[in-house]
Amino acid sequence: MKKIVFYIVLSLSIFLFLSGIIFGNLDEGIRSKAITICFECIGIG
Amino acid sequence: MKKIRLKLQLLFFAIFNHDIVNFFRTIYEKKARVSQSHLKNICIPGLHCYSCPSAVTSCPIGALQFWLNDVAMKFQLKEKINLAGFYIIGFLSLSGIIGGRFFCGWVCPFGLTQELINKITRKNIAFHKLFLYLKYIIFSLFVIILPLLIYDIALLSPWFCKYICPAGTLYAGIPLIAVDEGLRQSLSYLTLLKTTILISFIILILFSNRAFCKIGCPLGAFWGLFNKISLFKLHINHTKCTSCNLCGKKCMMNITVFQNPNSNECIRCLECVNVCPTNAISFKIDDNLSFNKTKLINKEDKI
Repeated sequence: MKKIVFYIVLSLSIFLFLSGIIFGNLDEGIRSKAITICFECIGIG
Repeated sequence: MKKIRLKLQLLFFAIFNHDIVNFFRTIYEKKARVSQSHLKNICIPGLHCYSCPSAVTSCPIGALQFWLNDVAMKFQLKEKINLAGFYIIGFLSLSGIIGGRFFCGWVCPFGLTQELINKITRKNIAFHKLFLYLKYIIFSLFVIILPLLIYDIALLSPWFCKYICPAGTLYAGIPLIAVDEGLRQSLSYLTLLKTTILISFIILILFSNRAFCKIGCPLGAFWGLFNKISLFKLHINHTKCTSCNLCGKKCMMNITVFQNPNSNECIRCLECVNVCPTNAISFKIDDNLSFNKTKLINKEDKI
């Protein structure tokens, strides 16, 4: 049972990881937020 | 082993914070600024605020919240959703399925900070079991549900970063507020709340090593779910084990290792492997995950 769960999760993770890189826009989705100061995160707001 | 782990943690800390130029520029110009590194496309396997002036990579928990905010907003506006979040979820689950909470013990910058703070007292009091569930509530509520349900259309709301994350206050909040006069004039109840949370966790860490990992870390909560099914696992050789519990006494996460080696709390620091007098504990690939073994057993059965 653990083996089946392991392989399902592994293949799903690889699928999500690769599809995110290929079809997602990392510049807009991740970097654009990370290059501006998150005032809430630092306790201002 | 302990020294190797410390060296690796310091190395990763340096890699994730290598924009020294921006760090000194912030101090020199007395103006808050964050690194514009292109590596900020990449999430790191650890908790580390990307608003820190020297940080060159992204925190997966922060990035996930922003993405969920974005998904909720675009869903309401009926716009196309950016699939970048699949990368974050895939990255987190892929690292989890490989080693469970291994990255907490060997890579996470905030884990290293907690261990260094705890060196002052070297105390390690165990929390009551109920407190250990708090991190699951924080993960599901502050990282997933609230960013999806409640958001400001003009201003994204990373709930965990905004109301809880002590790493953000320590790595970004305090340094930026210290140098920037403009930020000092904008202090609010939020600054007070986040500073109180940080100080509370520092006090807890002084009495219990990695207190934040134990009770508050959403990343640890998520990776902990993979501990029992991950590729690499702790194994106990019960013929060698004398149940002396030296492993449990040495464990910074207060686990009774010989009874529950792959507990959700285990950060795979491998101190137990090191301390075991009979070498009964090993960290290796789970034998049960191999298909060859099943085939071999079936062949033997047929014979």
